[in-house]
Amino acid sequence: MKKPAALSSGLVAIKGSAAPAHDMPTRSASLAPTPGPDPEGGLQPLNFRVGAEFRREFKTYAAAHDLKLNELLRRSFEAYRKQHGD
Amino acid sequence: MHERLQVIVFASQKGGVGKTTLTANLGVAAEMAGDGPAVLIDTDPQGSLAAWWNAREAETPALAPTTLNELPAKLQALGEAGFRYAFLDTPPAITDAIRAVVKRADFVLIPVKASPHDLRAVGRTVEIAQDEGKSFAFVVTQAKSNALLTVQAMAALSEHGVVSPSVMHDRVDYAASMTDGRTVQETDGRSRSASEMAELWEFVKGKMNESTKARKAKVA
Repeated sequence: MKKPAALSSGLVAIKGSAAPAHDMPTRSASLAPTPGPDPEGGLQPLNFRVGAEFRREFKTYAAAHDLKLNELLRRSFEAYRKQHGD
Repeated sequence: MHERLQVIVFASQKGGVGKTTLTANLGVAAEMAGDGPAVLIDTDPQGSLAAWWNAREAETPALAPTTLNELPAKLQALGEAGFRYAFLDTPPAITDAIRAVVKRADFVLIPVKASPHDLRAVGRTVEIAQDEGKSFAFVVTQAKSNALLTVQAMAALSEHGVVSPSVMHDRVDYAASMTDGRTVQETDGRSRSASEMAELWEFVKGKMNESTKARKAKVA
């Protein structure tokens, strides 16, 4: 017959309090990076000026959503085109 | 004198292969087979195993919270407290952190779906187990019934290591039982899924006994 485990406080979880190991690297960071799309001819520079306020907001939004600036621009452009039906 | 705690680590680079479902089901299978006390450890930051356990009414198997740093000391303490088997769920990745968890294993169970992508990805998980000198076995998960692919996958895997003869089939009761903190053996003990889990536990236990005997023979 099996014997019950001798439990000391903190050794095992109580219902509702169980949680995973918090110091395991996150799943997304630990997986092998997936290669992004390889645009034909590689990436090209695209330079234009915008207002200081817009520049700050754009960069802040990209950083907050873990997006590269060019990716945010590309998605915005796609959304704009979709919105205008072309 | 109490028996030493045996540690089973569920590892796979691929996600969605059923690691958490297997960990929970085998932990319960061990208890139901009279091999407890068993304890579950969730090292996946997604926390699905811990969430399942919180939703569960039964107190066994236990779940032990830990951090990676504390893991060796925690396993030692669990062994001293009389636990016989620890079941460790891991995130889908190949990292030094996974290697650190595998290092603590007595046995590594590698769930693999019978798909070309999964079969290709299995090599790196095997490498970690081999690098650390750990006994391991594959178990085919989410298999379609009577699928030739399952047989082919088992044949392909057997070239790299031992394959569990018990296959985990793709059935609704695995997911359904997990939603309210139970396992297939607890929702319907006479179901085919319940038999699979009982057989898989006997297989894993048998393999661990073999490796323990081999280790003892080496020491002697």
